[in-house]
Amino acid sequence: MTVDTEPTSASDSGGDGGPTEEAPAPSRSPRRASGAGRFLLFKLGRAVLVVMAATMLTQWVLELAPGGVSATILGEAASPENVAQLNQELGLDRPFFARYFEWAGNVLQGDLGNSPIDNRSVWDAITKALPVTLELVFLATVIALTLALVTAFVSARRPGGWVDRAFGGVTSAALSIPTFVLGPVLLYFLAVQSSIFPVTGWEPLSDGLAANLETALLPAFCVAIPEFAVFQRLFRGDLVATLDEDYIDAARARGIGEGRIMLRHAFRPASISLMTVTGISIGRLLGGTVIVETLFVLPGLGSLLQQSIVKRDLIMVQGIVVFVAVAYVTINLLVDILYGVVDPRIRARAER
Amino acid sequence: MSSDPMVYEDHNTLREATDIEPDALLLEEEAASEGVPRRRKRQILMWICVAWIVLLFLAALLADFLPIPGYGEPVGPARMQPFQEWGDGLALGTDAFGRSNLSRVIYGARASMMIGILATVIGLVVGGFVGLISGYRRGWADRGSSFVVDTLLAFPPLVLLLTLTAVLTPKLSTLLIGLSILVIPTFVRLERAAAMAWSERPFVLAARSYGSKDLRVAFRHVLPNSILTLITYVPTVISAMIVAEGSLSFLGLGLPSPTPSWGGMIAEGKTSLRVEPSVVFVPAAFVFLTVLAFNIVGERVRARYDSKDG
Repeated sequence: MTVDTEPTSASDSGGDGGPTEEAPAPSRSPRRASGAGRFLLFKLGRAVLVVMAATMLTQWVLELAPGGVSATILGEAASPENVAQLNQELGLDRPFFARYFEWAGNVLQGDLGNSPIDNRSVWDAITKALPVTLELVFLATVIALTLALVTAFVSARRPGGWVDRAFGGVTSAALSIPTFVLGPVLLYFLAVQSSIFPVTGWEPLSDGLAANLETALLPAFCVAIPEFAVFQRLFRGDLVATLDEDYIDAARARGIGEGRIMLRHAFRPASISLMTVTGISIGRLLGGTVIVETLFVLPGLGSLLQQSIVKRDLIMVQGIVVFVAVAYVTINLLVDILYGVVDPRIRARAER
Repeated sequence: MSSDPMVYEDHNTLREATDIEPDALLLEEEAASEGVPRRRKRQILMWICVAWIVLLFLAALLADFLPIPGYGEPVGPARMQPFQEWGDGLALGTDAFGRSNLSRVIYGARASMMIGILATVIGLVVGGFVGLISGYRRGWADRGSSFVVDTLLAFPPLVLLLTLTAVLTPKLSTLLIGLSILVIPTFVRLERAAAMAWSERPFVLAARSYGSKDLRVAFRHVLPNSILTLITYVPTVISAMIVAEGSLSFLGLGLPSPTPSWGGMIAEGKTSLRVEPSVVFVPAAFVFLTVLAFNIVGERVRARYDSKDG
């Protein structure tokens, strides 16, 4: 119902925002579109700037590493002259910005460089590891959302009742269990003790869904628990606030059943912050599954990052960090835009 | 002052720009609708948490004087179960090298809590200062610092931390730097919003029209009021820092090996999970209880002093 005045029409009229603003505006939509367009352009421009600054920062920070790239390639015994020579060959003695823009140009063509340690293409290594992490994040988000929605609906039926308080205690505890604590404990009870799940390892999806899920479910569950707690608290709060609105009383007065009120009347308005937070948490998890992947020995992006850091493979680290940061910024931007599309109230505020 | 109308106009735009109501920051007793008994029960829970934190803090601080064996020396058979013997530091069992879990956990508290608390304090001071300047002065300082904050927030927190550790050799000082960089953006944002809200209060305006220097107004009038909001976040941030430090040590990127830390103990115990899980469970319980205690204290403090956050 709100999808009619969204970005497509907005970006068309975004350029001539000035005149339309002055016009008496026969229908409201062109005026609204120009505001949304400018909003979109502003967000997009800022995201591009932030990505540039973030990649520059990454390059700058990684160059601070004791014994830079050349020293790593040549090993411990390298003489300073050899290092300087290799620096020159690799072009590392040129000014920072020259190197940055060359690097950025290569990145835009999909070339993140090669690892100086095992000569792998960084891009290939990332795309090989990415599906594992993506599946983990997807499963974890589905688990977390399902648990959070169900328990929040139950909690919001009687705010302050014993069920609500019990779930409050559960989420409170869940928020205080870091992954590096939850992981080994679940591993012990569900894999070592009762052998429901295999202890470590990964079967790719191509080996069949059942085999894949067997290895993926326990790690996904570990990732999901803290997210579930965040989602549950947020959605429960919004749901309770929404159920307090007059139109819910009106619906009740018309004799609409409790279940239908929850699903048809309260769910959508209450779920908007949950959508935002879900989006942000997906972005954060893309780089945040390091611990679970290391613990369960999964060949994902996180363990690739951890191994590269241990091996001091700074080119690989840079590639992964930049990849994750760009994905994170992009997802946050999309969430920002979608937020406006889904909730007309926010779009209206942004235009003012 | 001739520029008064302009100042007022400026402050009206400020009012729109910030979503924190100044009154929301006042010390108001809220949630008055709650019944007395439950309130008292919650108070007791909070004081238990405070007691646990203080106890652990003192133990960590005075570890050298406590009657426990050193963290590096074997005191009994390897992988002894907890609660079998009570003397000689064997109460919580031993790890794979026969070292006392009790003393390792206490010395580990030193790493975790000290790093967590110090990093939070550094983040509070630096972030608070930058946030105060950008929230009070606005203009280019604000735009500049906001851009830096946005850039730092472009990295998922753990990735930022790992990138920094990739560069810095893990030792106490570098861990502190890395962790404070992680929290500075949060404190900048909080202080900026609070400073903006307080800058539009009449008494600040009055101080300015008396001719007080900007810095004096910022530090004497805006800072003491706005700092309260920041301080209510301190326990929660400390708990996040303890988790971050633990994650790093778990990945083998924390303090170097002989120094015990909770994350490192869990990582080491992981290998003997099948034989004797208590090597993992003991530090795990300490992490959980400590993080939970800080979180509960943080939640209570915020509910009491900062009604914007439930």
